[in-house]
Amino acid sequence: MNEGPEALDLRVETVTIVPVEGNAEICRLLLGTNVGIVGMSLCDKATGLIAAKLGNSAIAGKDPRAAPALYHALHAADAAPPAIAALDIALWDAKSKTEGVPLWRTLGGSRGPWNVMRGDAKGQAIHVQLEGNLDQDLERIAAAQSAIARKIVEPVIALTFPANWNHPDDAAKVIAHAQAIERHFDIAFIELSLPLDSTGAHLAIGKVIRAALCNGRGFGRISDFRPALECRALDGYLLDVDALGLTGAMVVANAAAAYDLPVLLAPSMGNLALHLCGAMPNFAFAMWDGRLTASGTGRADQSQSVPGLDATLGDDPGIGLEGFS
Amino acid sequence: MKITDFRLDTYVMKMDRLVGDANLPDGTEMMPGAILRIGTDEGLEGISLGFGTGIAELFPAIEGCDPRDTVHLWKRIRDWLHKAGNEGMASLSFSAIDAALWDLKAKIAGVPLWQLLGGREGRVKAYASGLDYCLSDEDLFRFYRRMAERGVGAGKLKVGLDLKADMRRIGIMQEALSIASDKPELMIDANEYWSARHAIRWMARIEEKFDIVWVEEPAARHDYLGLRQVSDSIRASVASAENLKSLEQVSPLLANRSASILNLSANHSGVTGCRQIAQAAHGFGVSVSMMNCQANFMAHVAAALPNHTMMEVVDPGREHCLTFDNWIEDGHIVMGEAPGFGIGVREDVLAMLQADPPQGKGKFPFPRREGAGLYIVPPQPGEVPWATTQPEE
Repeated sequence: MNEGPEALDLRVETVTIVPVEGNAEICRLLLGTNVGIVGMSLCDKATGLIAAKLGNSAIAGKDPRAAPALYHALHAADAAPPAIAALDIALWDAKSKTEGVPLWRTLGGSRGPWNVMRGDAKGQAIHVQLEGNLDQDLERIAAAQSAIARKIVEPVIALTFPANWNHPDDAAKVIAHAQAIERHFDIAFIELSLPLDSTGAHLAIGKVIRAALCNGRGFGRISDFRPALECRALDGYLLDVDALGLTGAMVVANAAAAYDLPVLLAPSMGNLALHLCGAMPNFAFAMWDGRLTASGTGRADQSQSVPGLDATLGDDPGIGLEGFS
Repeated sequence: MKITDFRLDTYVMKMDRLVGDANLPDGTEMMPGAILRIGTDEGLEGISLGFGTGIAELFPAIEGCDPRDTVHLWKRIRDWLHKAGNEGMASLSFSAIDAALWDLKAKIAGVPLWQLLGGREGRVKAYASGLDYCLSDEDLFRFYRRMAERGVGAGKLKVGLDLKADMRRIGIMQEALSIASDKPELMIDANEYWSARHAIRWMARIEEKFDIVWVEEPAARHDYLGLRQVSDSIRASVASAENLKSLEQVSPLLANRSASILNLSANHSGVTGCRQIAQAAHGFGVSVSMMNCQANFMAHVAAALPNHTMMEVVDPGREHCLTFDNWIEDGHIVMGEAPGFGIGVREDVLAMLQADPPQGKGKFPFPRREGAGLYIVPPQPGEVPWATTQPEE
């Protein structure tokens, strides 16, 4: 048998967090290994503390190249999804650094360009957060549309309904609001805040509105998505990598692909979820995350560039978070 | 790194014994083989095994590209095939290209494919599969006992044409496996010969005597509502999808909860397509089982799937012109450290097979037997080397 190179003995040794300069709420999660490679991810401080504790107990001593297997093992042990997600991202970062390639290449994808959805006129599509007051929401949509209409003939408009419309009984309110908006605008996606297992409410809303119904932000377990998948209750899934991890996001994306449904990426810290775009068969848009760019530190990820209306990934190994501090 | 060229070697092999199922009870010992090698400007090459002969038509989609962008290139070929259809020889060629690219990607990284794909260990639980409709009761016992001696405590028998004989032979399999397990896991495979209702009737009688883990292809591959009927009516799980080619084709099984186990292989649009289906199944809470393949190369993929149960292993002798780096131990397929799939080519044997193709009984693939889905045509005199059930005088 042909012999390969000597097998690399690679292990996670320590999991720590360090604060991000200029942003007290966000930290970097660092997976130190025995060969000097450091896997990184970004998360909020509370999640980081849990992830570091979880990582030191469950990931230390493990080979980070088994990122997906470790992810599923942590979920099987019922650990907190956001902490698993932060560890998963850092494990993938370490895995691709071991290969010496950017994460998008480890995942088998490509550098892009990828469709980005922003709240201003700088993306391929516009994303408007609604507040629930119809007149004001119509004004917001009109303003966003007119800004982007100078660049795109038929702009894609995505709406996120208020976060507190989060009970299945809010379905009637959602329908009334969406129908009123659709009398004035051609909406492509509507993101709901209902529980993912509100299949009756999702189906009722989907029957009477034209836009594609999406949901998923903040949900971190693959099983959270099953009720909607089994009933084809949604027209698209919003994958939140900060909650679901890269591994979980790929699983849900492929499950959605069983219906040929699109997936959108929710804003992710450092926009690192962009690495996933080419690895999913049904990626449509990524919502741009302005949290870190707004802190005055510049782009979160120097491996990304947004020269026009879309995002292109660079060649830094791993996720490319080294350029950020 | 760029993809520069490919080489496809086709050949015909004569296996060490006959293999058969309900559709071809007397079996075949002949099988076509193909070895695809995709070359790069840096000298590394990726290898895959399959039957695809339409590589030249698809190769322009990847020529000059970086072979590490496997999923991206998979999507290019999938989109290329969209109108013509991901079917038949095109699908097999698509699958072979994708698998060779994953082999190449792992070789570039210098690791076995199971590790590149994120598995924790190169080890997969195995079940024995005799492809055994054409084996005598004695040879049937010998096959499963041979596997049990390597720790394999699960087996799958070909069934479908003679209920009483099928039940006798399930018992033989069970006994042979009993040295590896106090409670051998028993599976049966009707290879789409039954209708859904026929499956429900015969499974009821089989389950009076045996605890069956799964029944494979108890109805036609596309009859997802019939498979759902079977699933709802029997205790065993229904396994299917072996003969489907893509997630698009498998999705009705998931959406209708028609099967609890999906049988996967490299022919499901390559490694990428196979992983895609497995992950989709995981999203739906459905398990998968990797099918047998030459040199067990797909064990690398199985080892990295979160919802993989056990992989089919057979031993008819299909690897004469190959070397490989895995073995069966303690009931598992264990993979070594060779990069990629760990497959090598014995050039001298391959050249000999190509120069002087062997002759033997039967041909591949199997046709569908008369009566499938409609009525049972029992084994005819001399068709199988075991005692068939005779009508009572």
